[in-house]
Amino acid sequence: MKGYSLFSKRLGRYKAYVLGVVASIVIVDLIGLLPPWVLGDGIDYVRKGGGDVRTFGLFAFCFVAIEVCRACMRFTWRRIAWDFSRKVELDLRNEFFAKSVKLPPAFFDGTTIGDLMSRATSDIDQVRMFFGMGLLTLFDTTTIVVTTLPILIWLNPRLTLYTTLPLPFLAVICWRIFIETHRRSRAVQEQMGDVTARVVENLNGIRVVKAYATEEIEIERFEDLSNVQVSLSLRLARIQAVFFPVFTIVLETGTLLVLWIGGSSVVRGDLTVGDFVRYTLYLGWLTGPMVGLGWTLSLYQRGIASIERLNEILLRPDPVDGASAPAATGDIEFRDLTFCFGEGRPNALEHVSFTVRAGTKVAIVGRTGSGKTTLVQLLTRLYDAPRGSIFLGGRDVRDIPAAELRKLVAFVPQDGFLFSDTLAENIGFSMETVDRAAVEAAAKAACLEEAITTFPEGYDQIVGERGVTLSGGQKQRACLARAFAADAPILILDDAFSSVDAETEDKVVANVREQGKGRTVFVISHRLSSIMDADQIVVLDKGKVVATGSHEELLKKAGVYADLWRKQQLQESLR
Amino acid sequence: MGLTHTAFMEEDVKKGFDPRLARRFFAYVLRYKGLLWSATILLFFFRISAIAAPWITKVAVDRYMNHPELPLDERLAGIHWLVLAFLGVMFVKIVTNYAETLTTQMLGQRVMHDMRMSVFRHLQTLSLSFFSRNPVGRLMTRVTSDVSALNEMLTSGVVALAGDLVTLLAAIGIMLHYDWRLTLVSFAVVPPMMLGTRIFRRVSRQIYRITRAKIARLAAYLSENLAGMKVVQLFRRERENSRRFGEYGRDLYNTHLRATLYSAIFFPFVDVMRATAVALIFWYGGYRTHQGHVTLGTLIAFISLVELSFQPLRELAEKYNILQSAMAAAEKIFGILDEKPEVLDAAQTEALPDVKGDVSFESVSFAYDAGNDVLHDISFRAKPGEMVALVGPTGSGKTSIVNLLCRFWDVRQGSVLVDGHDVRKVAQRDLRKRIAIVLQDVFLFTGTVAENIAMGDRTMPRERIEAAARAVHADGFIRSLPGGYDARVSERGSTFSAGQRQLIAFARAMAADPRIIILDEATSNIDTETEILIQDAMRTLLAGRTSVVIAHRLSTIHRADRIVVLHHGKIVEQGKHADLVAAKGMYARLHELQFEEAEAAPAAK
Repeated sequence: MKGYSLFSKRLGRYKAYVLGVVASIVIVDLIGLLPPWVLGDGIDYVRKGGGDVRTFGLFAFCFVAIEVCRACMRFTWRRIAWDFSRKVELDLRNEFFAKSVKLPPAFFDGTTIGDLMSRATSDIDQVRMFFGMGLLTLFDTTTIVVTTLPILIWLNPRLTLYTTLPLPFLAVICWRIFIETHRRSRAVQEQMGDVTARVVENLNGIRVVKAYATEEIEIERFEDLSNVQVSLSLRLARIQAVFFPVFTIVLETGTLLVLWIGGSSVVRGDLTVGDFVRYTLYLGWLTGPMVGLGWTLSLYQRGIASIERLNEILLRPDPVDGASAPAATGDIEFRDLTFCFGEGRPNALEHVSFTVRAGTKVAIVGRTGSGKTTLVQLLTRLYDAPRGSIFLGGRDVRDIPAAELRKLVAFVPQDGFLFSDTLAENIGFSMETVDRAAVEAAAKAACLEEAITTFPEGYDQIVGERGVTLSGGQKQRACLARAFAADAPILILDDAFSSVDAETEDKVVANVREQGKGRTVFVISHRLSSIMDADQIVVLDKGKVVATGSHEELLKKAGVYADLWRKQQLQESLR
Repeated sequence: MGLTHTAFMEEDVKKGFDPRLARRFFAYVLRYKGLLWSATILLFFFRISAIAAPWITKVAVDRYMNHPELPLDERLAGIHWLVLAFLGVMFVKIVTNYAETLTTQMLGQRVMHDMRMSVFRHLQTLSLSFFSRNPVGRLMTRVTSDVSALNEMLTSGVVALAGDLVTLLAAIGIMLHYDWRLTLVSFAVVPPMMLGTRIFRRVSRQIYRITRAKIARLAAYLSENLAGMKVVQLFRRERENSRRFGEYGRDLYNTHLRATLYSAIFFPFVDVMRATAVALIFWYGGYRTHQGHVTLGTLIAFISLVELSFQPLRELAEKYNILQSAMAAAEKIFGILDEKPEVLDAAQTEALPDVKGDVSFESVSFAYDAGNDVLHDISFRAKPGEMVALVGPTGSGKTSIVNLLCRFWDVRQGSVLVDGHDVRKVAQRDLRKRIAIVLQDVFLFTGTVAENIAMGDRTMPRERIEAAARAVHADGFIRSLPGGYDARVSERGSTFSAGQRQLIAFARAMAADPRIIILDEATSNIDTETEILIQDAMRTLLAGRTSVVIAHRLSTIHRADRIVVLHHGKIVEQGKHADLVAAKGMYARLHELQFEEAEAAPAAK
């Protein structure tokens, strides 16, 4: 009963809702017992030759009045039940988000956004469906069986024995059908994904396809996939097509028995026509919930699978954080730092040792993959370096809580990641409430102001997919402005100008110099002209420090650095 | 908090009934006349048999149950006969329903397959200019969801509509046959119910759109946060972003509640209407029964028949919605099918027999957009077996030259000749069969390595594939893969290194055995060992073939028979390496900058 405890733990939080749902269902189902009764009495009245228009009116009125009461209760019932299931969804989603912001980047490296999104959407949906429709149907079925069955037995015990016997089987068959339908429709959806992927691949590679004139072959390959799609869809159709016939067989076998046994009883005078109608109506009423029961079972099964998938995230332990103590800036020391991203992977950094005095500017230079980004990610504890290898103001960064540490750091990442939000919101990302003046000052320092004036909404312009698409350089400058606005004592620029054009770069670099005064600045850059004023330049190669020194010192050494410098000078002259 | 949900409002395209589009669509359906007819006939019998049950009950009540004058035996026998009849009807109902569902689905799936293939096949004929204008995502939708929308119209729209009509007409027919007054009374609740349905559809459609927009916003926010989690954590926005996410979620929750409010009102409303109909039948029908105009059985049958005819009436509005979406989808699909390729084969193509590989550009000017020339008066020639190297900074027009040689685009002025034939006068297929192209960013397809080398050609013998791979030194690493030549290539070949991808592309070109090779050398870092393999493979690949190479390596440049130096779409210099270096022009400087590293690197290692 592992599944049961998974659900009951969650259910416990919503006692009021559950009570409300159960109470309203019971009331609705009890009222529901009345109409067949009234109708049966009415028909017997007609049969006995009653002809008083007023009596007919009374019957009709009672019938409608009962139905109105029931409708009102049903309204309440739906409201509570839907509210309940949506509440479950909302809470689960919020828990999911709250957990994911706590998980370290290493977790995200090992998974895909698609997988996480599918947990956050379809799995949560499955759980919601169980708590909404599933539980509802379960209570509904129970109530209806408990109330209707005695009436049926009372009306005609023998008939009831025959007619209700197949009903549990109906529930089981429906459950199997629903499970099988779900399985097959998943297969169809997955195949649909393949078809879509094939189309996307073909369109993305259309140049190659055309160049090799392999259009016909592509069509053939697509046709194969499309044919599989057809056969899988028909496999689904075959199981779906079974549902109605099965339902009909059970429902109508009941009616048939009623007609046969009940009809004969009426003829013999053991049963009135009114009772006959009543009986038919009650029996019909019992069949629907059996289908529902089957459905609930399938929802339960799927719900458990989903909640287990969700728990894989929700029950993941929070990363171990440093002791809670406020941190202050100071000298930064890398002490024989060796780091790799996982067992068996090569070392990303090896025996890295150097010290950065507070308030100085250090540049890190090296080829792609030499470990530059890793170094600054370790400093900000995006990944955790081994204890005793990175110190800030004399304290091991592992002892400083990540949030405290990051308060001291303003980071400009390589990829220029911005949120689909207004520019002001993006730049003021670090502020609790966006201070427009500070945002504007930061944008100005990042040489973004001019670009902003060209946007129709200025600072309120939404950027990204749903708004204005920024150029690579604009994105990087926006990220730079975001870091300036954070106003932290340590500024880290991870190859932040790679897409900024040369002219603007000079201005930005000058502004960075201005903004960097009194701050500890880390610059990772391929363009050496932007780092030549650094107090210290660290040259990395394959995770090792191969040289350190100032620009002049390194030029004199005639190594990798001097070589790069000469080449870039030449490049300048070609512009 | 700048996100307005209108930004997420998906355009809800609706289109009225367009007979022209419908005709085009039904041309596809009519290919399957057999299935169409079977589905229609089966549907007819299914719906009729569904109507028969209430009628049998009526007969049972009137003739036998409520008929004390008849002898008991006769009455019981009658009941038994009716039970048998009921059994028969039930059998027909089950069988026809099952068969009808299947045939309709078969019809729908076949039509969908045909449409999918039409769109896909047509896309293959369109020119690259079309693909540069239309984003992949949008075109993909045409082949997938738009086609599905048409299928939905066919299976749950048109077919179900026909079925509903049968049910309605049959039910009304029976009711009218027994008592037209009672029929009128039974349908008295139809106008208010239709009105209620209309209102409900309208508000629910609107709220449905808002809900979808809010779901999209929430999903976008979530996936954005997951993608940018580092930034979120670096700027300590965990709490604030959780709060916002909660706010969006709360907002969606409220919208959901509003939506359920409508359905919570609507469905009980329908129940009340149905009950009212039954009450009316009972009230007036009971009176008519007493008067002797109507039998008790008829009264009971009326109650069942009214229930049966309510369902189709309620769903009419929904069917109309399906039709509208399908029309919009049809318009988009046929829009693609009507798209004409911009680069067309001439009506009378010249045959391109054994190509020797003489390539020449004669005063070629070209623009992607009219009035914005990217190539100006380009002339150069590569004699059979020669190698021409294109050199120049980014944006100088190297790729455009490649595009014209493959005839992905047509020149604006001048001409591109292959063996003296203007490329515009030969069939594109014939031309491209003689040319192989190796791009810098090697595009690998999902499938096996062998399939990638054969470009999906299943008829290509394995020996040829392996021979090609061996010739370009790809054989070694391919054999070391799990599965060798049958190793799976993941999406876009992300598991291969840049060098390995190059080698596979070389093998692909080798297997195609063209006369002309276009090669865009890779600039990415490739380890020394692979680099040596690549250099040697290139020599094999280019031997005896005419080649146009966008060169990034010194060794390539040195070997070239002619170097064409491009700048801003113009040829600034042309000649042999030594001559150009001696001229001390643009090439000399480019050379120093671009190719020095390649020269220095092997020396350093």
